[in-house]
Amino acid sequence: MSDTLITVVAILLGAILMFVFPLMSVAERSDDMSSLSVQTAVTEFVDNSRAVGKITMANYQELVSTLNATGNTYDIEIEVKVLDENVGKKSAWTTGTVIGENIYYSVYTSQIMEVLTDENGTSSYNMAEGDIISVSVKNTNKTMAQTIRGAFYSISGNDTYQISAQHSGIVTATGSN
Amino acid sequence: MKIQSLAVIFAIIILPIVIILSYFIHAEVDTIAIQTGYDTKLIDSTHDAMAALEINTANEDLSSVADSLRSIIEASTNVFFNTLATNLGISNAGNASVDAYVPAVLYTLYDGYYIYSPTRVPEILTADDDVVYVGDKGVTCLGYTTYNAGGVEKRVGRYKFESSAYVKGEKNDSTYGVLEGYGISHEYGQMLYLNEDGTYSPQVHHTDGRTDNTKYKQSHILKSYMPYSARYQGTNAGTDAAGDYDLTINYTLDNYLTIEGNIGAVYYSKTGYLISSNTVTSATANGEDLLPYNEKTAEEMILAGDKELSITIDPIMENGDRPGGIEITYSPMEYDGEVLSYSKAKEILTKLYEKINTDDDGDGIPDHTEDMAIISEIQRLELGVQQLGAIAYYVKAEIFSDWVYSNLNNIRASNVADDIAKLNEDYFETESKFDLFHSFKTFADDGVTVDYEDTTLIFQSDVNPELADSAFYSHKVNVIRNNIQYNLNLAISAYNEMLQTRNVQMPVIKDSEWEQILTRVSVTSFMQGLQCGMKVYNNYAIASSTNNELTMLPTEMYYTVDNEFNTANVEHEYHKIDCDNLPGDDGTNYISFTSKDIKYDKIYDRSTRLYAYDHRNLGCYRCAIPSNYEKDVYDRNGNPARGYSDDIIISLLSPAKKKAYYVGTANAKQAIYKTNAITDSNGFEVINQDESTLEFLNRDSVQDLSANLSARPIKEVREVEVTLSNLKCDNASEATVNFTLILNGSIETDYSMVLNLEQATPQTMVFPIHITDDRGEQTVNRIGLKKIDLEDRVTCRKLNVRIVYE
Ligand SMILES: [Zn+2]
Ligand SMILES: [Zn+2]
Repeated sequence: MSDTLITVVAILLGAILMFVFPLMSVAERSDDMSSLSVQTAVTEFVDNSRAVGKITMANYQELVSTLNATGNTYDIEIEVKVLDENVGKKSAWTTGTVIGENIYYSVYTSQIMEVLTDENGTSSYNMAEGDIISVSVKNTNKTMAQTIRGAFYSISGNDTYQISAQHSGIVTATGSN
Repeated sequence: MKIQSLAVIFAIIILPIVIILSYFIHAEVDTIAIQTGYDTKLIDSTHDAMAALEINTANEDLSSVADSLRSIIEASTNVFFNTLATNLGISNAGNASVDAYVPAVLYTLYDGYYIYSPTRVPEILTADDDVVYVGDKGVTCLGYTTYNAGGVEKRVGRYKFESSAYVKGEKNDSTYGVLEGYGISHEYGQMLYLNEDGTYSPQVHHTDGRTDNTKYKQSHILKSYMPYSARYQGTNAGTDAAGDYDLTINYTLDNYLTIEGNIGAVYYSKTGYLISSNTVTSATANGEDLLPYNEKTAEEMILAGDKELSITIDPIMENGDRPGGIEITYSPMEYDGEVLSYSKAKEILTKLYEKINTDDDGDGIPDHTEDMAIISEIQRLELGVQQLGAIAYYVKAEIFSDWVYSNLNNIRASNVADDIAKLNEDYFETESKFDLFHSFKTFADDGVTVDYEDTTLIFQSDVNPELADSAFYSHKVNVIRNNIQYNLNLAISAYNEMLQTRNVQMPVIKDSEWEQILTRVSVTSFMQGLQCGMKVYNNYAIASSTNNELTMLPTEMYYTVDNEFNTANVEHEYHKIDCDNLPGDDGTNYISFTSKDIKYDKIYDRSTRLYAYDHRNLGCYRCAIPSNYEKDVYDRNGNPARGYSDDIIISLLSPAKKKAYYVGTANAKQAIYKTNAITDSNGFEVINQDESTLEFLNRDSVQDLSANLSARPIKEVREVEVTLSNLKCDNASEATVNFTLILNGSIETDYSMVLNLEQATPQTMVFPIHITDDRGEQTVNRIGLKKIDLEDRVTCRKLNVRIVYE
């Protein structure tokens, strides 16, 4: 091999070492930071909501603005599992020895947002004690770390996300006054 | 410089930064993860504690067992610590390991709160799980020491204990003689407390500089129940109440009040629901006006269930209007040919519910779920009982509120006294007393000059005290909040003092969370001091209950049409009052029940293990199961519109539903258990205690009993109680004597009381008085006792005379 070729390779390697690696590393750390604040925000949102038994617009907007502050865009999925008190009763008519199991049905983001944004509303979605709320957040854009990584090795599947957080818990108070 | 050198320098600078940053961020991530984990564990344990409280109150008649509430709370704290220990992965180590991280658990109930927090307690000597007493085998007296008890020198014995010599139940015969020798024989048979030097003493004692002082250990205890109360002092409490007053008012999460204390010479203990004046515009029983009676008398007349009752209510709605008169009536109900009282009707209802759920053929399935003969009886009685309960609620509330508005209408928020009234434990005494209710009154540095005072009148007759914008409501909320915050701070700082190693601070509870605490029964737990990554954990969790016997929330009430109640028909759902799907027209009657009735229905029959339901209706999937439903509301401009609301908007309900709402909520309030309840609601004045001798010479002889009368109107007098002793008659053949009472020299009571002659022990006569005509306006200025029927001379000693006011 000629010296020229070696020099070109060395310069290339040098460039990768000097710029790309630190850049990638810093980008990854920045995503870690984002993850951290996203996880914190999601946990706070869920715990606040389940403690008072309602999802409020104010809390939701706080979550959204914390997410936006990370510079990425996110998809927020809220699911409330509503405890169905009727199920036990229905089964008791045919057998007296089986207590109704806890059966839940789910309400999703769009239904919740409809109540939250109603113009003659209270800007809050009420839950009952015993319901379960879970929130999951994923980034929808490509973060810088993802972009850089993408240049070097391919990521299988388009929906791979870098920053995600979820938290859920049982609602400890019935909302509404 | 060569490019290679530059590269190396660049790498040397960048790499450590990247590594440190990465390490730091990961540590931070771990911290957050641990903290989140603790949060979740704390919330879940608190929720378990609340669930335990709900389940235990659901099937308990709280009024039947003294202090049963306390044991329920204790059970709930056990659940809390067990769950927390399990969640933290240290379940077998016992609660003690978790205890140290919990400075307080706060239970806010209907009319007061409990704080479960660590306190220093002496250690009691036990062996084989039994308490060891002075005199038991193994206990030897070492002599005595003297210690200083409030300035007085006292002897206290010192003992040593050898567990090898201890035999359960066996006594050491020589001990008593030894104690007598030391002059401390009164200690025989007492429990023993551990001293700091390892000896034991039967008394808790402390003198500075000694080594045998009582040793204390830290232990979590449930402190005594603290009412939501404030003390008020001043002069001229109201239009009809002159003179100095010193009153303690106990508030609750709703509009129920207990008032105790002196106004002038009269000691009042009044209790009832506060409503705006003229909420009840008329109330009659068999045509007779009920409102001039004392609330207790009126309640008894109503709940007897044997009269035709009719009341008209016109409460102030949330928009400030009144609905224009809602009539609630009741006709005596019969069952098996017997006229039912309120309590009898409830008893029969219980039997009927049981009957529906009986399993005659033993197949494990209740057999009468569709037996309309039983179900329609349940519907009839349930409807009647609810009307009766509601009538009792409104009549009592109106009588009580009228009293409040004429006797306490001058009391202002700034009349709050500078200490907490009636707290049982000394250590709640404050060092800076003005701290407690600083939102009502603040003082300048000299502690005397008033800087600021809140002069809002607390009791204003023309506003609905149940509405959050009323002066009463905001004052009440302030009192409760200050009260809790103050005692919680004390508990946490006492904990701090005990620990000495770390500084525990009370976290700030958010306003929205206060609102939750102040409207429902809640458990708030604090956890502090656990190491989590880079910091020390310090947080709290709240769980609130809407399904319990202790409170009633209008939004947690459900309704069915009366003839659909409790049928097994899936079409017959229960709804919230403002749900569009609740059927009915203007003539419809509704039966109501609370969310608690449904939630804790299914553990109904523990003996047969049948999971039967008292409430067979299914919940509406629009309003009852989830609680977000579009309904009639006011828009921003105050015009009716469709939308969502957390509140029930009464003014937009149909007339029949308005009535159902007012009956349902009143009936539910009537049934709430009150810890601070006092059975009678009245005031009394002791007017004569001089033990002088009275002499009734001949027939119709009158003796004057009055002295120190506070001169209140006769219409307010409910009873006069006269206690006499040493009754003697000149004619030994007479066995009894009759008396009547004369007010102001001319108003003679219809009642005569019989007393035994030749009896030395005291006998009390109670004269009921109910004067509603013009004479009632006169003030009481003389009370005379008149002997009737008997010619001969009678003498007696006058022990006590009391006037009981309404
Ligand atoms: Zn059967
Ligand atoms: Zn409904």
